[in-house]
Amino acid sequence: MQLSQILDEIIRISTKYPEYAVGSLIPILPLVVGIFTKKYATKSSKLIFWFIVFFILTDIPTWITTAMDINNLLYNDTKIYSINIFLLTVYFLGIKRGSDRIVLFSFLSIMGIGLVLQLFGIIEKGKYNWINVLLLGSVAVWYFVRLIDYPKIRDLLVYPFFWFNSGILFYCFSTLLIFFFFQYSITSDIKNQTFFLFRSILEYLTSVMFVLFAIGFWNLKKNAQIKTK
Amino acid sequence: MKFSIETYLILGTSIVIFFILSFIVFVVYYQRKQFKLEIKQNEEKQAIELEFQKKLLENSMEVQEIERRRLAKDLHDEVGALLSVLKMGNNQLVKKEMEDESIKQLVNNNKELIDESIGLVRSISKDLVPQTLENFGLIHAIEEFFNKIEKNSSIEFKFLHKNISEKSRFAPKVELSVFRIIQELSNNALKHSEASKIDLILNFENNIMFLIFADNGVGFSMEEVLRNPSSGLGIRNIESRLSIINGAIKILNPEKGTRFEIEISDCHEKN
Repeated sequence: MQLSQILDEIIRISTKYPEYAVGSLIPILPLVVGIFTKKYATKSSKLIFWFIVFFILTDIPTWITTAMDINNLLYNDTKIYSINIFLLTVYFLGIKRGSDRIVLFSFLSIMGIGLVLQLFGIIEKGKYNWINVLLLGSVAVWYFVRLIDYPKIRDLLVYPFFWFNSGILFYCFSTLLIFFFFQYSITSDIKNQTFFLFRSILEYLTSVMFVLFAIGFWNLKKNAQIKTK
Repeated sequence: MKFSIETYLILGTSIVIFFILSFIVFVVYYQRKQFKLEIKQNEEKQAIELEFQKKLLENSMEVQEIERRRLAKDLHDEVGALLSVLKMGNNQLVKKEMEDESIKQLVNNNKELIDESIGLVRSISKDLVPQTLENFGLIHAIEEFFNKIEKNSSIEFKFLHKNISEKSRFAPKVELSVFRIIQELSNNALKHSEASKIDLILNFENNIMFLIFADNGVGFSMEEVLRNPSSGLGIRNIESRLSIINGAIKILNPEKGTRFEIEISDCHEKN
């Protein structure tokens, strides 16, 4: 299959399923905003920025394999696993407290073991993704609880990690039910249409996360100005 | 009526999204509330600390005044009395016929020295406790102080008072602080300013006392004074005194000399 044929096929899929195109293109928004506000980047914003780069790069093979009609279900589920692991690593690297890091490390280990088991076919593809988003979501909730106890931030709406955390929280809990029902879409006789609906909703919810990330990057400058005041 | 799995999923996800958004809104609201509470607590803490510092300073000034009073009393009653006895004894010697001219000269010299010492003790004890201020008020005390230093220096002093009569009296704390501040500013001007003229304007309006002290000397840089730990004690002392009586000082550097503008709020005239 030639490159032009692959591109034609990608355009055809994008036209037929625009939600997939939106889901793949929306990360470019926080990426661009992140580049513009690079000067004010913090450690956490840098990690989120690299996560977006990772997301965009890992999305390219999905489009190519789909266009070439190659089964990429394992790749996609591995990608979802990696996304959760990457986001959890952002918390792990950003948090300094020893006891918190132990909890995060144990969560990371669970996800890592799950990924290995899935890759070796010991567990079914995508069956336990809901556990990952539940773990990551609980970390995001825990982060907000900590934030409430730390009233040093002058304006939370200008604090970039508030938006990053909101994005992660939104992604995790809004997709929890979808990931939970995924296992039934694989194992039972649920129609193909339902499976596509699941994925479409997933794409839209992931897009919301990236929009919130973009707002977080947008606030980097304002936050830096408040800090210097 | 049977719902499909899609309907359940969309409904369930919508409810979850609603809860997530509510949780985020709650976090923002609660964090803001906590932040405001923290600011309020800090402000209260600062106000308490400030009040404590003020009280501490007030006590320290009071102790200083008590000590000055004790010293003045001791000087006047003890040293002054001894000098008076010495003077009387010396006067007895003066009255006696003396053959030796050198001894006579010595006795006369002693008389002069004793007189000078008595004058000095009186002057020091008067400086330590401004009796005129206590008995006759601020205007008389300032006039007396200016007359005294005008005699001993080449500086011309000009004192103007508006809306304050010679009989006007204020709280002893205010009167004493204002007088000590004027003393400090005058001494500084005498020592460092090389001025030939000092103007003092005292005004009282709407329970606010305004004081302008200006000289035509060489002026000074406040930054330099504050940078040097060994200098600027006088200014710091003035600021301390003012903080006790709700006063504030502004130091201006006009083309020539220095101008101090002092404002003391909540200052009530005593009937």
